[in-house]
Amino acid sequence: MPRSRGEKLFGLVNGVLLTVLAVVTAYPFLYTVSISLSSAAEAERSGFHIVPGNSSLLWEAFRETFSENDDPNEPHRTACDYLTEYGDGLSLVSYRKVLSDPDIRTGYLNSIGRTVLGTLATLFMTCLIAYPLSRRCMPWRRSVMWLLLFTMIFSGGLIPTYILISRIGLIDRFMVYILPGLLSGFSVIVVKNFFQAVPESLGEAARMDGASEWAILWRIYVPLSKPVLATVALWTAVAHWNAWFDAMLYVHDRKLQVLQSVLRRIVIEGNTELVEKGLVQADQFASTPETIKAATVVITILPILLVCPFVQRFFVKGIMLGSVKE
Amino acid sequence: MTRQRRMAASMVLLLILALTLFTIFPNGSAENVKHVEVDWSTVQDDPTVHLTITWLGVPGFPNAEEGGFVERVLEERFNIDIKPIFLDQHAYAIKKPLMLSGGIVPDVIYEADPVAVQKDARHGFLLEIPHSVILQHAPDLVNLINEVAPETWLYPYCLDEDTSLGRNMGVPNVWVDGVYPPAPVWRSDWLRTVGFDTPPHTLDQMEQAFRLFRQHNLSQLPDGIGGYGMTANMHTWWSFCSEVFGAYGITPFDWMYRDGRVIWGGVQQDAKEALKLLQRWYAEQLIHPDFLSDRRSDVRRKFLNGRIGYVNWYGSWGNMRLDVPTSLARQVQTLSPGAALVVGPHPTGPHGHRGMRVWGGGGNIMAFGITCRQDPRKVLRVLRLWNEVVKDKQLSILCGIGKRGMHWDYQSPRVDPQTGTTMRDPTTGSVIMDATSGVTFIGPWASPSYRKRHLTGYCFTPNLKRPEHVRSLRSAEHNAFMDRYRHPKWGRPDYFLKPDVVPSADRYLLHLRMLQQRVYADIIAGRQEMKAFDQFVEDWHTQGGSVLTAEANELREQMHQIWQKVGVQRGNAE
Amino acid sequence: MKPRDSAIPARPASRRVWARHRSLLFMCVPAIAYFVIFHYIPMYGLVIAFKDFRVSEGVMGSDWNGLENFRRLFTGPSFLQALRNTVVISFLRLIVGFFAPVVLALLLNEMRIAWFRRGVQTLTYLPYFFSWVILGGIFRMLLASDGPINVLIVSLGMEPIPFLTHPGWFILVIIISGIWQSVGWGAVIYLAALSSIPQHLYEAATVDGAGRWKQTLHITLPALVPTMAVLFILSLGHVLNAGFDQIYNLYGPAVFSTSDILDTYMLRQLQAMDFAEGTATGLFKSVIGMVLIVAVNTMANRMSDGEHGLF
Repeated sequence: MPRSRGEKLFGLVNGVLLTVLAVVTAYPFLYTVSISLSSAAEAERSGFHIVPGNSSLLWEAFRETFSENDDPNEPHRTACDYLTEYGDGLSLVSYRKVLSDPDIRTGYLNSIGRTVLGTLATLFMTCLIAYPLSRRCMPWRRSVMWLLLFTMIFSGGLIPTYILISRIGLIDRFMVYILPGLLSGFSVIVVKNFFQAVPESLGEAARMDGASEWAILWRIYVPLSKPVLATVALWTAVAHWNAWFDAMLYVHDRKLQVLQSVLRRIVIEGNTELVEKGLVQADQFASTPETIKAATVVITILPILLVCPFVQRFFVKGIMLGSVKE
Repeated sequence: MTRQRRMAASMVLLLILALTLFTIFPNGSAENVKHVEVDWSTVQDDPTVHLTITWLGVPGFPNAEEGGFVERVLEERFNIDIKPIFLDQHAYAIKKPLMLSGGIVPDVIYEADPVAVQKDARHGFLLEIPHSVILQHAPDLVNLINEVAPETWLYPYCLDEDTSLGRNMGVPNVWVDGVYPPAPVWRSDWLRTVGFDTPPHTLDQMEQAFRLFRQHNLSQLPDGIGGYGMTANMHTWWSFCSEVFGAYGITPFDWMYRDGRVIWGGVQQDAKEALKLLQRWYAEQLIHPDFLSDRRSDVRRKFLNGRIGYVNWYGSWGNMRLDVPTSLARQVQTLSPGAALVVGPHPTGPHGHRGMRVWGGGGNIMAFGITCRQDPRKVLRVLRLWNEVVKDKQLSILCGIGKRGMHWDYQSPRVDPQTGTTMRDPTTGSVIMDATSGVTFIGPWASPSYRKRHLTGYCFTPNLKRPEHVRSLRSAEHNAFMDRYRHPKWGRPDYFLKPDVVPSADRYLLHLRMLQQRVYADIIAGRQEMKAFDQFVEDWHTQGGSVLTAEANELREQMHQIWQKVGVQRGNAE
Repeated sequence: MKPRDSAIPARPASRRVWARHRSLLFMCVPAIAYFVIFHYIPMYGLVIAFKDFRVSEGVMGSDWNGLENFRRLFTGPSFLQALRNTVVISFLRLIVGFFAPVVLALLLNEMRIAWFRRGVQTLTYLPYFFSWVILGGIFRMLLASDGPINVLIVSLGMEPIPFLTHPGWFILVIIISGIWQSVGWGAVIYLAALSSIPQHLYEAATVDGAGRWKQTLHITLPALVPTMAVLFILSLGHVLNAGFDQIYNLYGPAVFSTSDILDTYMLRQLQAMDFAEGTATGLFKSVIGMVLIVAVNTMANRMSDGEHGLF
């Protein structure tokens, strides 16, 4: 397809814009990785922290390699000296500390488990309810919608929920990670909206052929709505991966702890804030270095980062191509 | 229309459904126990009876495991089985109320502050424990409290809403380490460059040093910015410029006792004087402009990177040690080559005042759950446990840092003064350690995280130790340091140790504190004239300050009444 | 056996409705059961907003105290200021921030190099995964009076800007950093919407000689409108949540006058945060959110003939 000059210019500007945005949004991650790999002291240095350790030494080493007329009177430092000093500013201690925690393995397993199971369950349930709601012929459709919407705005609060969870025996059960957050009104409404965009004629055709509603949902609507389902999967998976509050409230058993609570605990172990406030007293509190906090953040984010590109496969154009025969 | 009617019908149906389901749930979890009283005169504890005690201890041990060394020692010695609930501080704040209302009421409950006690007492979770019982069963603990922090008797004391009678709902703890004021730290290399051989010890000298810091470009950063005197952290009111206000004899965010009245420090004329000074310092760029937004970590970073030459908080023994890689002294050397630190005295003000705010010896509160009324012997057993820990130095040390030779040992061996060689036991040949050399942890116990996991003594016996025991474990040099820079006589606690103890604190104090922070910030940054202070004083009084002040004075009366009951001898700091 | 004439609007007797839509109704059962059990049953707890709640007496046994809990909330000093700040910040966020993800999605959509598009997309998610405790520290460093951004400004010959300590600038920082944090994540749903646009529409438009700009205007944007409408209406439900974590980790005494929001106000006003008062505050926010949603939804339905409302 030939492109006009305007379009080419737009493409260029667009590319520059997006690059700038990507750099700006990637910064906190670079910063955190860099802090997590620095020694405790280097982490406190003022500056951008894009490269771990004291990056000015790298620059010195670089200059030393290429500069020629050295002043012989000055005490000479070779590039190697600079690099050695730079190396002293790096450290893997924080990762070692975090990963050597005895609970980290169970944390990982539980987190992966709840993310996978929870996401699948949510996707299934969301499709199941979104489909009838997307059908204009469904009776009591508006009532059910209100029912959903209401739960998005109003909530009974922590205490009644806690009492409910304990009464139905979910305390210290793995299912407590899955069941209470099974559906979100928001996702249902979003998916329902996408289902509505699927041409009714497709379903009608199938119905003519004697397909059940169940089959129409899974054979026609779901395949055609992959992008939005991918979106909901992403939302749900990330929410599951990042969740720690439910683990804190409902789970005492160490074997059921999720990664986030283990990491949070490592960070909190050395929290001195409350000691200062006089709320908690103990003389053996040592504050958690920034480097350890950074390492825990990197450890949590990396898996998400690795998964994201796979999910994005579903955001390709032309999903409906060829399948629509109107 | 049909559609609307349908909707209404389904809503009603739903409501009915919800209500039906709701009736399945019994009302509340704890039974109505508002006026349960235990006749303590009939309760006798029999040490041979094995008791099981559920224990929500200090929430500072998030990773702890049940059955730690100290826990087992305590269980064996007092013939009890401790069922601990380990929480972190955040979980404590959220989970405790949920657990309590969900019906899980531990026998021993840690309460973070007076407000928490009042709340739990009001909800009926706590068992009243009269002063006489504590006096009878834990006399040594009472002595320690009376000696270190008699003000804390106020914390568990609740006025019953219906009868207006005071009831004691728990046992206050002490925090022996809370009496030592933090000490300021200076960059000694900067001081030397501008001609100071010793750290400034008056406000005037401090100002002079700050000014000289500005004039010399002392910052070694490539961008050449720096050399400010100080910055501050306005978020932590308890440490904000505390040594400057202290030099004017003021703790601005606390209750003070002056001329027979309890007053709020921040609305006194002396506070205005201090603000005037800070305003001038800011105008002369002696204070870093970021002090308005800096948090603790920013202050630390600024100091380490040589943007400021002074901080008021970090002067501790550990921070000055060059052999500890995480100490302030070591880190500053990495980031600012050639840097050296020196601890300075708190500056003396124009009228000879000197000091810095401390939390004082007051701690938290340990309360007994209402569950204990089934078996009040649990209360007596726990009281005896705490009393023993205070009385028995060995047990006290054990609870705090574990067993010598197993968890810790003295730093260095004793050296024969004549020969200069290490002394050995003549019979066993083992090295004799020097008990004045300070304490060091052995092997894996050197890791604070490991200690918290397996050495959970303080969870059950929160910092119960006598001041002289603490002293005896420090090295001679450490003690000398404390006496020289962090002596309790320079500590300026709140009159009640915690300003929030006044009954209407949650109604007014937080708001007034914010108002005060805002006005102070504006005045120091020169956005408002000095006369804004007078307006602030007026606002403070009309917006609840007068109520609080009246309450504070009543509270003082109440405190003295309690003191008579528990036998506090001293006339406090009046 | 299967309903075939669902397109015909009929009002049959309820038994016939049941018979015809049995399978559809069955599909709703699990979800409705879920919502009733996990959301509606706990809602009985809302009554404690009107009670002098004591746990020992239970939810039902506690005494009613009418609107006392609300009175306590509304009569605190500077309540109005907090409410005003909340509304201002929320609406600024909504006005400025709502369209940012749409624009990003469109820009990404126009990018033809697939790996580049995917890479940028992943990177723009990143800030969403960071908590404001960490981002707050980064921003305080970047925006400090001697931080990198001000160094740049000074080198351009201007005065340093007090980003975090001037009440006006602070709001700007809050809004922009908020957008920065969520724009990538917010764009995901629009990208999904873009992927669902039938490709043949574009092909037809190309055949008709429409340029890319025209295609965007006449095909892409209209396809996004339903999603935008739903998201907009739903976001109104949380209009009284102005972003507690973000503000709490960035603000300071110098900017209290414009940045003290309802959440920070509550933190002070209800220090003890007793159950009843907490519930009352939550209820207040919910009611406002609900009213807004219903109002705007009705409006949207009227304006678009039932096309763009929630339902």
